Amino acid sequence: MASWAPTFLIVLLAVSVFPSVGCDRWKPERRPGESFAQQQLLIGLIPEQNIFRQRERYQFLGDYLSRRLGVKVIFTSLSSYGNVIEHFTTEKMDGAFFGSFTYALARRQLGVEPVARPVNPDGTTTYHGYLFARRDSGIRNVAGLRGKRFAFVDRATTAGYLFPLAYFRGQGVRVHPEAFVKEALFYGSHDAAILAVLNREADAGAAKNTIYDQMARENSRIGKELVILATSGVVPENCLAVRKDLDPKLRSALRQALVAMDRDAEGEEALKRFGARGFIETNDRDYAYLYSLAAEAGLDFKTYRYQSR
Amino acid sequence: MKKRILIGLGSLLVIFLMGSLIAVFYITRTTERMDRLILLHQVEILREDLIIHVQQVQSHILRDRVRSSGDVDLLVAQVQEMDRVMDSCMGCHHTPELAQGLSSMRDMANDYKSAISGLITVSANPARVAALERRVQDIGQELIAMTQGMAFTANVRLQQKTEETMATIREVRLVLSATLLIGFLLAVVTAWVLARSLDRVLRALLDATRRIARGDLQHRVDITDSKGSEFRELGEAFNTMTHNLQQSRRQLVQSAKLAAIGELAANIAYEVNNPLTGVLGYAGLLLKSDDIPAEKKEQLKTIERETLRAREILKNLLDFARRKPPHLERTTVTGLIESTLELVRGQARLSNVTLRIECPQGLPDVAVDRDEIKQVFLNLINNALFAMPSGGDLTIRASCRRESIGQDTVAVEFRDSGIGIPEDQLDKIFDPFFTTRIEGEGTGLGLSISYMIVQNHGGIIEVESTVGEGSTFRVLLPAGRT
Repeated sequence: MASWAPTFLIVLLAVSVFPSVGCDRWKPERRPGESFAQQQLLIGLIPEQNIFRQRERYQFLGDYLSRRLGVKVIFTSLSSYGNVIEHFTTEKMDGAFFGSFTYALARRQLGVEPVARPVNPDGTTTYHGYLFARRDSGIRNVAGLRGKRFAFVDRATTAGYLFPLAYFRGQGVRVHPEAFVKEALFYGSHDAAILAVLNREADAGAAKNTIYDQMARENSRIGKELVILATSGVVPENCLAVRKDLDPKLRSALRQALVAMDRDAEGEEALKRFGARGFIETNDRDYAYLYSLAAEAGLDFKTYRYQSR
Repeated sequence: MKKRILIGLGSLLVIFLMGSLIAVFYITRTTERMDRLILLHQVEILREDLIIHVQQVQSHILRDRVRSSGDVDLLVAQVQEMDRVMDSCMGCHHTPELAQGLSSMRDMANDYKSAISGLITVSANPARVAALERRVQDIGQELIAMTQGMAFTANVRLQQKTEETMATIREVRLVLSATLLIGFLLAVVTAWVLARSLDRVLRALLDATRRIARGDLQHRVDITDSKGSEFRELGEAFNTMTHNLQQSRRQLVQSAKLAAIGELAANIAYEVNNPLTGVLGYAGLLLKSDDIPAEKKEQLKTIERETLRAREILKNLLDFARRKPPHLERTTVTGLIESTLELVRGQARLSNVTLRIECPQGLPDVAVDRDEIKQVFLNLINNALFAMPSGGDLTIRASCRRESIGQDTVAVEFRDSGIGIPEDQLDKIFDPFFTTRIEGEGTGLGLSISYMIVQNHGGIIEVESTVGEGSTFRVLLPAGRT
């Protein structure tokens, strides 16, 4: 009696514990009172400098959200080459982590609803744009840019396009900036635009401060050879926005899960791996400066037809 | 022998163990080599996998220019798979040369990944996109070439390892066969040696048994095994048994002889006694008559004296033949020896014989007829003195032997340094009328009567003698029986 009783208890315990442990990852826990018709969420990601690292980071977030919401969260990469807005629709995404410019486009054209955005490890949640030139080019204001080669990033970026556009307009340039300069070069990524100016392929350029500052830390030539001519106001960093017809309950549950993430141990662990301090709630008002910048640049998001080239 | 059997079995065990150890060692070595070979094959599969994955990524980038989300997802999955395969390559132990190769391959893969990231991240400038694509393809091709180069090197090594392993297997087969054969031969030799030594001893014992069965009780087995071995002990026990058998037979023969002679003697004594009574009566009458001259009377006295002597002999004979049951009383052998010695001390001194008495304290009592046993001791001492005409030593030693549980035997030993008794006479000394003395000095009945007395007490007399060294007579009497 005494000899088999402990074995029996252990087996019983193992049988009762095992399935809950084994399926933890695959069978999301459902919070009482919440269930959604939708079984999965397809979230798009705009590629970053290292897409492989990006996929790994977002996987931790996805796993956590799947467990919290009881809805499987899947990530897919939105190719930044081409029409992001079109892809969002054709590939039936439920949401995406948009850059500020692409958010504004999606908001105006598709009516997406902002949910939340990450707080960077340094505590920032916003970024701004820099307009810079080679120190030895003698360019110090808009007049000096006339007839020079200018390095833009892409026609769908805030720092790398919208901000210089507004800057030129604000400085009294009446013609389209792409015609004002001798050559408007599009480099496709912020680092490429910065490197182009540094390597004299262009005389001046525009890019976001986070990339510029990071590169300046790694390459002392940037601080020495480049000079910042203008700095924009702040715009929100990559923000998760969902399609307008997504179940509002699911949207609010998603927001709640993200915002409360730093308040439980599991969430904290996922945040650490994701590389953020937490998430803050984000709404369309946070983009007021961006909208004003667009107005200054004469760019209407509602009618803007973006096709990268 | 037990030791020998143990050593034999032990050496067989050692041979077996050594054989097993050799087998285990070689099998382990072979399986290790096989494992390594299998591992190399697995590594080879990993390399092929890697090439396939890099080629997949390459063809993906070449085929369409990574437009849709699905494309990016697939590309990311393919690169991740390529990475995983490369990780499992890196996870193994390698030679420094190979490790360096893998390390540079890993660096190149990282370049490849960053180039792909750059290509996917770029969102404008077709010329730059094309340049990035070229860069990706170039690195990819280089990576494939490098992996193929390493695969070629690995293939050469794989072949070399396969040959080495096959050589090891052949060697192992040879060593195991040799071990088996040597083990078998050694086992056969060990078994043969064991059987032979057993056989030798058993044959000696069998031969001795047959000789004893034929009546050769003098035969002794001679087993020259090491001291303390069971066979040596068996041989000694066998010899003791034969010795005891010889003694018993001698006593049995003696008893039978005595009984027959006793009966004959009694008849003769009875028949001769009557006429002697007549002779003696008439001789007496004649001696009393006055008409017999004095010189004739002297002759008559001789007749009477000799007749009386004859009657004394007859009386002894009758005593010998019609033994009365002994009158037993408890006494100590020490006391018996002392009182006997009182009678012979003078004679011993005259014969120049030194007497030594060794009677330890605490000997058990014996139940004997004091006079009869004293007669036995006296007879044995007299014989000893006679055997030492020019003096010597006579040691009388009493001791106690435990024959079996609860039965003690008191032994009284008379050891002289006399002339000894030849072997051929040892069987006859207890016979009536057997004597080595000159006629008239002894009747030859002393030892016979002593033998009968001791036998009637439930004891025996043993004798050992060596010519020129002396004789030992041992009287064994049961202790404490009344």
